[in-house]
Amino acid sequence: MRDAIFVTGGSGFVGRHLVPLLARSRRVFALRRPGSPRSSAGAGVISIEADLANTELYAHALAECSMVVHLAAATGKRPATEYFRVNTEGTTRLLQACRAAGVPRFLFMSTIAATFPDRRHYPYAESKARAENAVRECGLDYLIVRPTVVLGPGAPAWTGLAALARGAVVVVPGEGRALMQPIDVGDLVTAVDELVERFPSPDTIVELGGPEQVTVEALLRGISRRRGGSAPRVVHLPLGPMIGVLARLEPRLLRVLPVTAGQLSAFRYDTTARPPRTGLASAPAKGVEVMLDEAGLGRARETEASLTQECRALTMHLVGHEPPPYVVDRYGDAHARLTRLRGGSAFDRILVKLAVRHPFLARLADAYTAVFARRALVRQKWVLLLALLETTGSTAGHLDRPDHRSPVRLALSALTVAAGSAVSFAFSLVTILPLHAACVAGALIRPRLSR
Amino acid sequence: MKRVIVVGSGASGVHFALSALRKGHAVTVLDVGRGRPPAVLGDAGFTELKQRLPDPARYFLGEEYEAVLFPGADHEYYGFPPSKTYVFSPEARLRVEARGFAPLFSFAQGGLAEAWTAGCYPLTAEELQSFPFRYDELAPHYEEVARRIGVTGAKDDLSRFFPLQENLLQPLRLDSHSELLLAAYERDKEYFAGRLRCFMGRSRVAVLSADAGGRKACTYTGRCLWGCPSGALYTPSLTLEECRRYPEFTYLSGHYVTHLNVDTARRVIGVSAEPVGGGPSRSVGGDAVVLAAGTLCSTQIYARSVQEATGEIPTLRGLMDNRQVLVPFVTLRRIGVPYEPTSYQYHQLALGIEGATAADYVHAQITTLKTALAHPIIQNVPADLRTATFLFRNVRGGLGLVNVNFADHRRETNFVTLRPGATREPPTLIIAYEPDPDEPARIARAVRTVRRALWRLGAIVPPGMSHVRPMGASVHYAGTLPMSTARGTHTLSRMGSSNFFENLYIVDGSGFPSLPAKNLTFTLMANAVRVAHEAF
Repeated sequence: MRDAIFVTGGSGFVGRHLVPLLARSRRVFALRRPGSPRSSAGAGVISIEADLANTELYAHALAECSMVVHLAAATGKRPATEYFRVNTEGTTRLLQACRAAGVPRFLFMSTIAATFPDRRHYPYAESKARAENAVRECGLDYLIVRPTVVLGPGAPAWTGLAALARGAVVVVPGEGRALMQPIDVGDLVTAVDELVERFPSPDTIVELGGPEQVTVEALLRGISRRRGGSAPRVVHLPLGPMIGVLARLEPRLLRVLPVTAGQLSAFRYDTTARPPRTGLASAPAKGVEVMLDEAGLGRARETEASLTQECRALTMHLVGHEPPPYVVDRYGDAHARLTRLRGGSAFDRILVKLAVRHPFLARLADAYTAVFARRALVRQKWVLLLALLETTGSTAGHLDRPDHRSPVRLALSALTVAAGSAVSFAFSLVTILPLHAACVAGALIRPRLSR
Repeated sequence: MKRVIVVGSGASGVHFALSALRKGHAVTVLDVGRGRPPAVLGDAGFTELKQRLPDPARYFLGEEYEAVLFPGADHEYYGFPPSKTYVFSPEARLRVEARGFAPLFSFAQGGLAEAWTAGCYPLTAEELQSFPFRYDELAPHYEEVARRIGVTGAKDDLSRFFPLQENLLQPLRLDSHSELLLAAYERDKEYFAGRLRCFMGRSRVAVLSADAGGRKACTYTGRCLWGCPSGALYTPSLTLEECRRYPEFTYLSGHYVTHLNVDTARRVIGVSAEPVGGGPSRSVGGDAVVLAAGTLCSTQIYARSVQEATGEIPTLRGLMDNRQVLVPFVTLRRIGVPYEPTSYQYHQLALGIEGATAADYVHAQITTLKTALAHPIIQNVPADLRTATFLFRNVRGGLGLVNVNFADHRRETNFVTLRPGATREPPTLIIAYEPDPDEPARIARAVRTVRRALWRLGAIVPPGMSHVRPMGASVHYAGTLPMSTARGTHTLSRMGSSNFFENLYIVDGSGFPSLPAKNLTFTLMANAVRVAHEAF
């Protein structure tokens, strides 16, 4: 009997909200990526762990479904090829499998970015636009949903936005006048649930946005305010050149770049939704201010997540192993209790960020502070970690067990370590030293400017 | 039978009290008396403790991470653990201003020696020269204290500097690193004696190597610093416990003694004490008062009493302390060798460096690194922390620290006095210290000798890591109210009785007329016993 619904991307951000809603009145098969967290979707949900491309692993389920809701997509910071492999090719394969299994209806979750006139540097948008074409040409009854920016607690979109509104300065790409119309994930899945139920007229495209439109700058200011920055300073960066430069750097430096060219492209055009012609019983209700308030952008939550990441990165640098959960927990606890671990100068904060961002940068920060800034914040954090690692039963060995008993092997590793240390120090002289000088100079000049 | 009031339950106070009790006197001990937290998992060794405790970081680092030595505490190689913070936790009533001196105080039950490393060295006849009594007058009391507390040691080359006692216990099991160093010394004795005038042997420590008097022998858990869980490492609170078995003993804990109660003839009739928890000051009467609150606190009580009696604040000169220099070393043959967590953690070896006179003798204790917190050491290594961590774990088995102690003598420039507080406010204790002008030269000479000795033993001293500790760090304070045959106003007789107040005795370091390089605690205890025997 074809009474079930097949949802791809069931463990993703939208999927986690949508699956339980759909499962209230139907059987739901939820496809999740191998290795993704097993969510407790509850009764009526059958979870299938398989890659989107391995259609044979879930074809049996498709045979029982009257509709596929295709949410799965590659998002965030990824190489361009990955977007096309997952978003375009993956969708094409899924459509083939649907046809083969006789699934009559297909709901495709696209993006408002698929409507951008220039998608050259935005492979995500381009891959989605191509997928839309595939859906339109597949011969099934389809419905394409194009949401605007989807927000809500834990929404992936915050990462990119927050990267721009971090610290004392809000970086606004371009003029900041492009309009946005963010939609709350709750409002989005309510609307999708209704569309699944009614499946209006086939072969329709529905754009879904929130009840309010705001400028990019206003949204970023709102984020910055909630992160504790009072009256943030706004810096406008020329969008065209920025996108150009980022697009060149991306192939090599994707991991260390804070935002991608594609993510910036989103600030170039309005990302607003045309009102749906079909008309929905449930209109999106949650306004921007409410979404910002509920996002948990306050320092506490953001700190907890970033401290975990920081603890991992700093521990990896020191001993080459991940910290056990106990150490991560105590690391957070110490930060909550000790004021010396919070704040710090601009240089302090930059060093911590560098050390967390990349193992090589951590080496530079370590080498530099060993000589020029022995009381730097990042060093304080490392010393705290040493103290935690050595008092924890499972990690104490990292600090007191010799690597080798043989003097020759020991000497060899010592040479390697010493060489690595010397190289890091030399590099830090041409990278961190100028940065330090700039920070010191900046601190000297700033009071004069404000006078 | 006299009713004797003892102020302070530290090393001097409890041994005086025990002797007085045994002689049939009624003794009342007053102190602030902060208590020791209960020992955790008494049977667990250091490594096991980290695995078995549910929250090991809290035990080792403290609830507020107060035992983490962050960058900035440069050159200190260990911090006091949370289980010992009670020993040094401050008292709000005590206000202090110090110049050239970093004073430490204790308001713990058992005093500062609750956190000592148990070094027990008798002074020689020459070292006692400025004292108003002879070595043979003190010797029986050294023996008495050794019987009470249990001192381990050996007959070796150091016996020339510390007279051998009858009551020495078998030395503790030597850790393999110390064993290596001692063997290297034995092979090369002539060089040490001839060229360096430096001698090496077992240090004397107040730790039981065999069960005695209801106390268990050392079980080598490696937990000395965190508080010996078996009581093998002697602390004065054990003697306090013994005192409490006497019916004539009264322990008034929770009292901060402010001054002596004196009649018009300057006869001491008791003390005034404020309950620590608040409330009105109370008077405790007695036939004699014995100050044993530690040099700085006894001096403060004395000075305040002089002020109450005469209206004038005395300046008490002659404050002394042992300068300490820390010399870390690496024994090359121990690199890559795992360390021994199951061993006695503190020093097991000592170096004696002979000087032209007894006052020039330099005393050094050698502690091989066994159990310890690593992060204070790692961050002192002149390298990035990743490299320092690598180096540390590979050389840990060969690391050690020589703590070099220097003698001090009384000088006019160094004093303790009071500045009166506003109405109803306590006065402020003022401490001033200036090192001897020839001190840098003496330090340089001794450190050079230590360095050469270590080199000869197969160990190197990493450059730039030796550290002169600030004055006050050794907590061997002495000399403000010296015992003397001359009857100065603010001095003591050979009996430890005050020349200013009648019925007042001072049995702590205040009465020392000079401060040899060796740890003074053993002599403090013996002297307190001597006073109890001779004057009561």
